[in-house]
Amino acid sequence: MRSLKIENLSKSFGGLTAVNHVTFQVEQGEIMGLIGPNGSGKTTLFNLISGFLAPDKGNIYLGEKSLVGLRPHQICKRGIGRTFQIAKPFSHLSVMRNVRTAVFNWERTISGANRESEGLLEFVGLWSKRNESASSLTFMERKRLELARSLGTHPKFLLLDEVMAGLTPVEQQKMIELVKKIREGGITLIVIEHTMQIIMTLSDRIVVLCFGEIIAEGPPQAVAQDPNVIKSYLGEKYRFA
Amino acid sequence: MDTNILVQAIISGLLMGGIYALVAVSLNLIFGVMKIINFAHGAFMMLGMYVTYWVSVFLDIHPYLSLLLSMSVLFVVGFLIQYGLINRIIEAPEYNQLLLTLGVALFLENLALFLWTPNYRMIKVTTFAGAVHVGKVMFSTPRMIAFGAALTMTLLLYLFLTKTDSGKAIRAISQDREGAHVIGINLKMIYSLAFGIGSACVAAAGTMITPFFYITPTVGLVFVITAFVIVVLGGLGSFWGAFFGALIVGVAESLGEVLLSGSLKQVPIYSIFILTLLFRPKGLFGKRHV
Amino acid sequence: MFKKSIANSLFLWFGLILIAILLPFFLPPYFIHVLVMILFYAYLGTSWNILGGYAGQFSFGHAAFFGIGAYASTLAFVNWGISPWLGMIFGGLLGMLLGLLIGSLCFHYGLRGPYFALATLAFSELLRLISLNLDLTGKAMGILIPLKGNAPFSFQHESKIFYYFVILLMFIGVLWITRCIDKGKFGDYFTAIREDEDSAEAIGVDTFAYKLLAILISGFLTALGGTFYAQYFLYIDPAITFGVGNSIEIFLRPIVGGMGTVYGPLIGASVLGPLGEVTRGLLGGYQGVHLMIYGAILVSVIIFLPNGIYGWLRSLKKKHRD
Repeated sequence: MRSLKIENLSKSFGGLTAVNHVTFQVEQGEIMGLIGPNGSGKTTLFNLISGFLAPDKGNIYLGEKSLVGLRPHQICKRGIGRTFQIAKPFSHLSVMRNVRTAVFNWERTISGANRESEGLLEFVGLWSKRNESASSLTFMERKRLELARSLGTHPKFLLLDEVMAGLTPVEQQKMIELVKKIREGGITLIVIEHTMQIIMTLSDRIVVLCFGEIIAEGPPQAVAQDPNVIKSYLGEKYRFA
Repeated sequence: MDTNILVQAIISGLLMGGIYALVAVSLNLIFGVMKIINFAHGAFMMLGMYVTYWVSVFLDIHPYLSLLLSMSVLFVVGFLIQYGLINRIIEAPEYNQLLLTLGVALFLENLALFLWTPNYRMIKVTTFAGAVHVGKVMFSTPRMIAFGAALTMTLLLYLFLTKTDSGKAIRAISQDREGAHVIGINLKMIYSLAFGIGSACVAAAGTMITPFFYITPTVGLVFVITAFVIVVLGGLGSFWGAFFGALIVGVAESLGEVLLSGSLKQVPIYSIFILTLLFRPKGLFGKRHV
Repeated sequence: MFKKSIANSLFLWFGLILIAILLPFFLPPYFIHVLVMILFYAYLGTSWNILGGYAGQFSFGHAAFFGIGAYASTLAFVNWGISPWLGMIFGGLLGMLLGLLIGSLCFHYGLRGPYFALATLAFSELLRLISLNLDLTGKAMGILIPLKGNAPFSFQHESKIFYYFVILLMFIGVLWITRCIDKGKFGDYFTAIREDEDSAEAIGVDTFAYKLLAILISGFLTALGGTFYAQYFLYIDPAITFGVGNSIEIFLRPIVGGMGTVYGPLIGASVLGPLGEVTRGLLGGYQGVHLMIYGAILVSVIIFLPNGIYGWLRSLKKKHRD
């Protein structure tokens, strides 16, 4: 069982420190929630892990191997996938070919790739739209496509960046089901979210970031009652039963 | 190598650099405001030169006297092109706007070729001609006047951008398009104004160099490419970057002419261009994120 | 019904090919020349399209590849008697090397969009200046290719029909390559890179490698076109081969016809070719007079048909269906 280890990670932009000596570990099979106020460094952390940014200090280990210095596509091939806050499908490709692009990492033949893509689309509930242009999808459908695409790369760890943002409560419920299905498939998840309710129900463990530093870490109940967290993020009046 | 020749080259380079500065700064204005890489900039300069040529031939007057006319004509041309053509595709991806200005440049240059033939034309001036000699170094009078005029215009443009309401509106838009829109600035009008002003400035540069530069329909191409090099070197969006970049390029070109043979003088320029794009795309003074 | 549509399209293709083969024998030389030029620019445009339209890296300097191919085969033939057919392959390989140089520099440093376009322009201009000043390339005088009469093995013939078939085959070749790209894995990858490089990287696409692949293929094919030009017109010089005007003529067809589509460049060439001839006929005068019309068309297409003629036709078809 390989774990994802973030060790003493730091990143600054000009004078602004976005991520400050962050250390944590994600074990295979769990759902880890990552929360914090806007600008606390969550997406920067994702960018660092997935290789879109290079850290100033610290290291990232998948098992024994360091990921620092690798390009994003290499990190993806090692088994770490990610989604983006704003889901952007490849609009000139059909829904199926969008997924197929990812699947080609593992499939050699076109027919094999087509088959696997269709399977993934069925998994996320987009099979009926497989031949439509990706630009014709609704907002929720784009998020499903984004998930199917990331799943096509056979990730062991999946970084979900605010996958619930902008969805109606009904859609959010469906998305939660989908995320749980993904975990059941054996994929470890790190989830950034803003809606406390969702994070509490989904996560096995939560890490709280504030101004680029971890201010709390642990099971949802413990984190929700942590005085530091309440002060910096949830607010004094927040009550969670 | 004779120091006099080197000094002469540097002086000539600086004088020409002043002209390049006006061309580059006006190109930069258009880019800064509308994010448009204006390929037609050179064609406008060429048109300014032809306006001056025909006026000075038909009315038998000194080219400098046609300055206001060439600037006005090109202001209108630039304004109309932005208003009527480019404004229609302002939401389109960058490429489209670039290609549109390229289309305009193609059209104008070849229209000029068709109307006026590729023959090189020259305006012979008798007043404000000649040169001033300081020791062994020669300062060509028309070049000095052109340099002075270009600097003056550049300064006026700077004052316009920093001191007047319209100028400030233009700068507001280049810094934050949405914000400017929200506080009620009429984007399309300002774009057209900026484009018109940029075109008028480059036409002025054209007029001022007619006493010592051959006039031909394709003269604009070299200037527009040089202007791009300068703007990238100085940093897209930076006024003073374009200004100082122009002086640097002017001197580099002049030294290239002296140290290498004839047409190879442009090799240093293109090399600087490629190196800048690769290693420091923000340019020397650039603020914009590439 | 499925079988009927396959039968129909096979019939269509067969018919088209038959027409294409028989046509030149019924036309006077001038019209064959027009056809040759249409196919020639369709070929170049399709080659450009692989990098510019599919992979989304707009090149303003394809004249660099064109010129390298033209000079390589010409110099090999004039100086060492090597057949231009071999010289063409050699030129293609040089084009590929040039693509490797330009691509690895530009893509490694992350040049995108207009910056990449301007960089390619700078490279082609540098090559133009070099060829303008080298004795080897004949400087401004260029190089004249000696007349060999009817010498198909030396890539020359007195009849234009020879050249017609050569360029027809070349064009069908790149068309087939493009079709394979369009439908297969490369099409997925190139389109992904074109639309959103970051998302492409995040799903495991090595964007650097595939952009490089695109420029290698495009450079190779364009260089072959340079050799064809040299052998057809029997004269090359720095301006004709490496000039900006050439780069513009190359990408104009895909833009007008439709970038990133299989038949876009052909459509563009079929429109611009005859139009250019008619313009030159009506207005006479200078070699570049048709460029005036091309400029106007470019402006019109950008404003009214941003997806090119092919894109416009497709949207009409969609509206018709609804």
